[in-house]
Amino acid sequence: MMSRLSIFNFDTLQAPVKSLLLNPVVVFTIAILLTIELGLRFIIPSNHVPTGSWYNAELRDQVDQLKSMSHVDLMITGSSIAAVNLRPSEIDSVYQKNNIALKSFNAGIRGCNYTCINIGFQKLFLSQKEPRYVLIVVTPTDLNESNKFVINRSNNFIKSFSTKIYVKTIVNTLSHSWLFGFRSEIREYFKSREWIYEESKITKQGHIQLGDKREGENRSLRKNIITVDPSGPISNSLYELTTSILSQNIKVIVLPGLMNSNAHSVINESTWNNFSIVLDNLANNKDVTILNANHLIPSDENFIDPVHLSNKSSVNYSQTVAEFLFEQDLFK
Amino acid sequence: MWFNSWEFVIFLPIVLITYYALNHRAQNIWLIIASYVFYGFWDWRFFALIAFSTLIDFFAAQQISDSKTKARKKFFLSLSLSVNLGALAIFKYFNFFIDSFIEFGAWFGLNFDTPVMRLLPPIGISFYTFQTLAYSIDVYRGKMEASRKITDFALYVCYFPQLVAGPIERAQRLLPQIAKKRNVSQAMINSGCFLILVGLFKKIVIADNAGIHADKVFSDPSGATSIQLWAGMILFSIQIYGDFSGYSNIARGVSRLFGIELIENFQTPYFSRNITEFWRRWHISLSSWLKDYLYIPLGGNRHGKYKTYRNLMLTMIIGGLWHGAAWTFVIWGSLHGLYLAIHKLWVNSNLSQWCHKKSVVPHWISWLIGVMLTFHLVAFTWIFFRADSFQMAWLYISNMLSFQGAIRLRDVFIPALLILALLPIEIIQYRKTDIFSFLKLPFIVRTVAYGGIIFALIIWSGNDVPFIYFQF
Repeated sequence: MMSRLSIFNFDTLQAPVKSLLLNPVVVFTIAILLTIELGLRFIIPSNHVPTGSWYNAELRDQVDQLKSMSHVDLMITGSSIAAVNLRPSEIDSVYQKNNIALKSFNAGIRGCNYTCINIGFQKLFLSQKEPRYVLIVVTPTDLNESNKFVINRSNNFIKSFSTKIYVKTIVNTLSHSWLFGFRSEIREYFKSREWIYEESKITKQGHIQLGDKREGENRSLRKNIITVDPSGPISNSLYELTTSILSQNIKVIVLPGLMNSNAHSVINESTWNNFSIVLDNLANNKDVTILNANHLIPSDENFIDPVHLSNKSSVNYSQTVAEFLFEQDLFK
Repeated sequence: MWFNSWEFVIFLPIVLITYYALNHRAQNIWLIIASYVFYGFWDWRFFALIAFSTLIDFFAAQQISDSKTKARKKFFLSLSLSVNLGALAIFKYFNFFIDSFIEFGAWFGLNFDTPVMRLLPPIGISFYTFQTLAYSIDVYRGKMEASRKITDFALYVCYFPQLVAGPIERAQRLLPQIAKKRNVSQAMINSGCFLILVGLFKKIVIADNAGIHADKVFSDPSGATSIQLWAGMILFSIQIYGDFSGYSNIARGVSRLFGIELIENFQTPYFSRNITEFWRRWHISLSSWLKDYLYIPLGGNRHGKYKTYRNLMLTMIIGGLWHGAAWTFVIWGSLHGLYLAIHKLWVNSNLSQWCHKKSVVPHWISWLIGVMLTFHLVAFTWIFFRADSFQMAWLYISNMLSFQGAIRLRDVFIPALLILALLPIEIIQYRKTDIFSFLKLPFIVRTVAYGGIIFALIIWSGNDVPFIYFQF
């Protein structure tokens, strides 16, 4: 018996819970959805993984790799230009040959500009491990204020970084269902009739391998479509990222401008000037080293598209950059 | 916290389970707490405004009820009106009037250096203000007794399913439901869940998808072909209907789970044969509010036809301004006022009566013509509603009517697909005049429909696009 003073009673709910849950319509609707779920498990390739609360599976794999490392001395950040072209293992081996133990990790985020890299790098990577150095790879395309597609995609990335913990928990739990976990891919399939799954291309220590196929070789970069504003929101994000890294007593090295000659030529003079202003602004900070490494950029046949190197070329380029860094007395 | 957010997915079961475990008195207090938490997800600083409005209206209504003299009643009514309309004027319209004043001065070469106070309007202020205004006026008119329990009245003002975007509930309907002990039957739970599902479908699958395409066209009307602009206009019409009627369905559905019945806000408005019928079917709680508290007090249709037209225009212009402090909303309201006046003129004309008597065209043809004409007239006004400025709306309309550019099937494919997805629900509701008639359909039809709706919701979930009417 409940006390007369009790605020509790269950008078309001007149329907028995059992009859609500065992309602035939509910049971058969669940059966339909389960059938779809099972069907999807047969149709979808088994190596495809639902992304859950992450923007894509690649980023989750990258973070997992970082978590599994005991420590990191050098963290590389930037867009795919950083993630694809610099192999941490090659950098480490060059230093090892010179009897210096260096552990590096590539935290480049594919598909992002610096508004996204700023938040993503700090939230996902810098919060896990504290390196001694951060190598920032930056080109005018990473600061492009005109590319609406990348700006939108970056905003979607940012949204996924700032997902609240309870939402992450729900989404990750629901993603055990492939119907829910692959909803973006299924949605795209309805639109394009193609199963578009962004496979994780992570190799090791955060490096992303795009392959040797020159699919994007002829991808034309139209003239005047890259605009850099030294006081625009994307450049400001780069400054903010740099300041934030420096405030944690981590030294910053900036590696600018890796792209093939075609990409280089379509960027107009004013954009290059603005890019130089951005670099000057970065250089104004104490503990920031701007590398003049343009002479290290490989020739055009090494590129599979305007900004990404082939597998073999990325090995060579990483070694060359490591040797250059060693000569500059960095990371010793 | 949106109804289509993950926060709400956690919030609702917690509130509901606790609610079922409580007795009536505790349930009301629990719902007040839940409503304030719901509201606080946007901005907790506006708690004070709702609480203040609640206290003022609670005491003002009691004073109105208890006063012996008309003057004293009037004084307390004025107090309630000034507080409510004052808050609305300061938070929602202050910037608009100041900006318009400055612009007006600029036309005459005058440069007013006016102090600017940029205030963020509290979410849902237009809805709860109208609700409390109606309460004070009804008590003053003697249509109802003032509430004597502060918890009942506080819940009437802040009840979360309808707090931020309506329906604008009348105190005569909602307060008695709050005051008495509630029972939630299996039928209420079934119908409530059904409404929530349909509402989410309209919002997430229909409105949000229509919005993606409508936004593209409205963001750059100069770069679109005429057919794309026509499609954009229709897509926005679908978006705003799916968005707002979806919200109203969810609000009603959630409320049913608490054993509280809210007014039906939409009755297949796009099947209206004329503009007068449209306003009987669209945002019913607002249109009936405007009729009872504005149009009729202005004189309604009691003082000749010219004053009737004037009253219609005034009512609709104020209705437009209620939606937002911008000239585009004034134009939107004016167009509807004009349509209503023209329709009234037509209905009273000899030609209309002759056509009606002689049945010049078969009924279904006149129905179809009426529906198509009304839909396109309404869709045209949505351009002003959606456009950021008058100039943009003008550019949109002039490009749309220039009939330039190629006609491609894919430009009309998306609107056609979304209309097809929406039609079954609309047809059932229209033919049976009751959305719940769906629940009487054969078992297999319901099961397949639920499966389809849930499948679509899963596939299109996760975007968290805010409801359009939350901004009002």
